[in-house]
Amino acid sequence: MGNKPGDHKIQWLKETLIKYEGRLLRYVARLLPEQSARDVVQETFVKLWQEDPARLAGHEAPWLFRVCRNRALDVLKKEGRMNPFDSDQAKSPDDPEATVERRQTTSQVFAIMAELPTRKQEVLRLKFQEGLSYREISQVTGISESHVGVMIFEGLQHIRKRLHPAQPSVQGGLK
Amino acid sequence: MMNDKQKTKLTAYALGELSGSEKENIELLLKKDREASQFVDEVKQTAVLLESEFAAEEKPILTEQEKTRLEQVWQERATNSASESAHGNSWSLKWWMFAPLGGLVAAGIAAIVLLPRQAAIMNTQEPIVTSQIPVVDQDDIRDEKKLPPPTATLASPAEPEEAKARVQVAERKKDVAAREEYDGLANEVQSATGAVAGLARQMPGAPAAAPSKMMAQSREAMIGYGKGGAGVDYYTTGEDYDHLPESDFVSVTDHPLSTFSIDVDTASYSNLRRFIQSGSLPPVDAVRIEELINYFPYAYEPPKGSHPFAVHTEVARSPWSENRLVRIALKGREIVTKDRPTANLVFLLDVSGSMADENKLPLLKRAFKLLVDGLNGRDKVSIVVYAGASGLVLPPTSGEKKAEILASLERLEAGGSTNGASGIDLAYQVAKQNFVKGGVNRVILATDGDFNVGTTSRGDLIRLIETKAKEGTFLTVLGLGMGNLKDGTLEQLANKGNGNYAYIDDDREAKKVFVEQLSANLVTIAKDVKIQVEFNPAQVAQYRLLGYENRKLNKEDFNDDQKDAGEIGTGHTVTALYEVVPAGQASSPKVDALKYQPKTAAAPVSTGSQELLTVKLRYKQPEGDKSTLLEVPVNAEAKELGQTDSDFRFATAVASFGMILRNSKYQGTSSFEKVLDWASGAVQVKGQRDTYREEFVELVRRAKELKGGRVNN
Repeated sequence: MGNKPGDHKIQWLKETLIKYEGRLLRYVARLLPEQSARDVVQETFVKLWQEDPARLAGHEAPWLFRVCRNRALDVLKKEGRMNPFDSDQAKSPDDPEATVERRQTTSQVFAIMAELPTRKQEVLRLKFQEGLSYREISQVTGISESHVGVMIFEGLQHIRKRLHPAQPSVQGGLK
Repeated sequence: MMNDKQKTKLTAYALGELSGSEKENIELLLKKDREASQFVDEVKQTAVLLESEFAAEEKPILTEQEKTRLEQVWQERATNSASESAHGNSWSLKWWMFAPLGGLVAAGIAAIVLLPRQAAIMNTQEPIVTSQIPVVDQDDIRDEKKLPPPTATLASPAEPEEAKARVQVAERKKDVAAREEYDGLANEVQSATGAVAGLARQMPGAPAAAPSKMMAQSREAMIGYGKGGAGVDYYTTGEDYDHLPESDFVSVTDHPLSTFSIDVDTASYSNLRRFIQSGSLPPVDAVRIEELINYFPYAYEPPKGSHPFAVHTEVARSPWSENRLVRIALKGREIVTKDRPTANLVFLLDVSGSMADENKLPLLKRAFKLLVDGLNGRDKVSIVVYAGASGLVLPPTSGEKKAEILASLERLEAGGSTNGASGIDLAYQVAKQNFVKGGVNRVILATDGDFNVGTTSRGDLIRLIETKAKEGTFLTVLGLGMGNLKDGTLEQLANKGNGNYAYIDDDREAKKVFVEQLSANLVTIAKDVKIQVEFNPAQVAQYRLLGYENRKLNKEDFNDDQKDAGEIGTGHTVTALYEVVPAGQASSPKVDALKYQPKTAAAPVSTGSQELLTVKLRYKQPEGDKSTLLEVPVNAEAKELGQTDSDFRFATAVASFGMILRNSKYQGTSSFEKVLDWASGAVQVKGQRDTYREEFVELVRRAKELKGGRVNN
């Protein structure tokens, strides 16, 4: 009977899966334990089936990250665990777990990243790891586009200052 | 010298985020401003560094098995959809067909549930909310179930990931401070970057809305997801709780107190029902016994005295073990129609650009329709919006003029930037002009969290809200959208305004908050209701609370008025069951005798009291800050199950059913047959057959068949 109606779509799903599974897993694994993250990513791809490839064209990344993120937060909420973005009850920077994490990261940049609030880390990662635009980040996180801009500026600023503490300030260049 | 606002703009430029005249303007600036061009270079350098570091990070992938399973699900869906529909793209229509339907059905129900007096009088209305949510996507649920069960596949421990999720307090404070500074700039920045209002429209319609819609449909289905994984341990270990997730029997000598918050959720039942009706048994973790029990109406006597709710207790022999069952039942005071306080509601809606997302303003509009449907001619509704400018969109209008109210809601469109301060002033002003003495005077702020305090400092804002709350106008805050930026701020505002803070991320949640919770808030009769049971060691050796696993509190939380707990609305019923092992009873096979406890501890000075336990409740008046204590001693004398009222027998049947579905190790001699027996003999509420209870009986039959089929698998 030739092509089944779904064949084309499944091809698209497979391609999208290969393209994004790693990025999504890496992203969600920052919010959830490994296995839950795997579940969330799989559920996201089940959901992707509902989407029309043509209509989603060019927007796959924000869609996928957003669905993953929402699901992850839902899992956290359902489990009664702290939303990682609600920082009010967060542990202090001296939290031993945070220290362990810092030890484990080989790179200085990652250590500095870990000093930033979770939201900011997330935005920085979406920008510099996933290559999303401000607008796409806003779509994924629900943070306004302009505030995404502010967070990225502040994040970069922090990292730069910590990497080059001795460097003369920019104003020094002015006459 | 550049300020942060300029630097933010330059950062955006350096990262290729700007276009058109903005970009050109900056290019011109860079030619003559050395500081600026140096800054841009530094941003680019840091960006490159970050990109290369991040690129080197490992990317885990799904296992072959996981992928194969996924593909199977896709294939199956493709086949199903091909046979179900001649239209090749029917899948993409699915989301949409049901969105309006869900709204309509909900709207039809809203009138009934919003005003709980009716619910109370008609007695069986409330559960309609859950039962009539259209069962839209049962294949979703089925398919999700086919996903591989959680198995630990990777060795990498989850802890470091968890640690990354922690936010450092110090940083947070800085962040807040920075944000406050930033608030002043937000308007300009936002208008500069162009109206974000088009954002949602730029996403293709379906994808933009799909996530929120999806969550609405599938949340229930995934209740158990992740719970089976490692996640559950994070919040149950290392804490000083008197419990484990799967409540075990605990010894009275070790833990004489059992403390929990009331819960009126019912989601687990409707979820379970969908599973069973669609032909499969629910996953174990999707079964929450207290939510099953509390789904049904019970004919508990309303309070007679001064307390806002009545407490009823009863003890009977457990039908599945040698133990006793203790029922604690609460019934909120019923308020009849003419007594419901008149409402003076002022909606303060954020219509800034970021609210254009499908799961924000459009969702909010749908949700408000539910609310408006339940208002009457005495109530007044006003709408104030804020964005770049704030304004009164709807002057105080009688709740009867629904068309007028809805039309003004329809006209709302997101656009512009946020400037909340003057909006809130205006809202309070309107509320004050229409103040109803002894009524419900409330400003309901809805925002996605970019609540911009503008020129007013946060301190001033909070003082304003506190003052207004003292004058009798309370503030309710509704957060919309995921990843709310200013959760803390919003919550603080609501707390200061004697209000509550709810978070809405999809239609289902909206329904819950606007129809169930918000209405209960309008007529909340008690808040922070906590239960603490003290067991008498002379009578009870061990006990186990059925359900409420995630509602447990530390014992010291009970007297801590700072500790939040559940609210109880007018007419609400809440039921909790304990299974207790009587003292002196030959230790049940399920419970080992405590080896190291001095025997004397089990029979303390013994006042000779025949009391089994004492139920202590703390609650606050809806607007009070000090809790009131209520104590109800319970005698040890136990009835036979057959002698108890139909409410007791029905709740027992539901609990037993829940334990069977959970494969609980404490189910004892429970069986579907027995559940059917107990339940079908208890389908009457106040002398009338109750459709929900009858439906339950059917459901148990179906589950029994399913279970039977499963044996052969």
